[in-house]
Amino acid sequence: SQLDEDFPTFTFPPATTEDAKYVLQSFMKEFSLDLLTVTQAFLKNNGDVEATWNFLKTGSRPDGFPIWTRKDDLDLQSRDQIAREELIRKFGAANIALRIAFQGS
Amino acid sequence: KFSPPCPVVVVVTSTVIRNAFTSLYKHENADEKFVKLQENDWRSFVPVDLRQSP
Repeated sequence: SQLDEDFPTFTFPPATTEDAKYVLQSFMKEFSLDLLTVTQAFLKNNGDVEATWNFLKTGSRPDGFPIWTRKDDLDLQSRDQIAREELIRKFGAANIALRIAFQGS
Repeated sequence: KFSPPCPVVVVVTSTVIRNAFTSLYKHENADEKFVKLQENDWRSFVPVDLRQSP
């Protein structure tokens, strides 16, 4: 769309391990949470820094979609068409593509 | 506060998160713990905005 052309979304190269350590420690300090909790928040938010920050602050993702559960991940790996359609309804096709990319990253 | 002129998505890959976690956790069972974090559902927690001050 014209709006997308005017305001393109840039994706930086993936952060390095040192970057990630800095971000994990920063979030632990900012939200008074332990390493396990902050790490899991990143895993459930596909490694998206802004989404994870928003989730820890408000309990919600900025795009309004829920975070991924173990059952969602298992359904994503299954060949069950009904389960996959339910995932598309729950997360949207774009979010599913992001989840698949993150799991393989 | 810095505001980028356009939407920016900063993403940390699963492998990088694993490496960072392993480096910071400093226990022998870090890899096992990381797998559990992946497999376990998010535990309930109170977001910062909903925490009451003492």
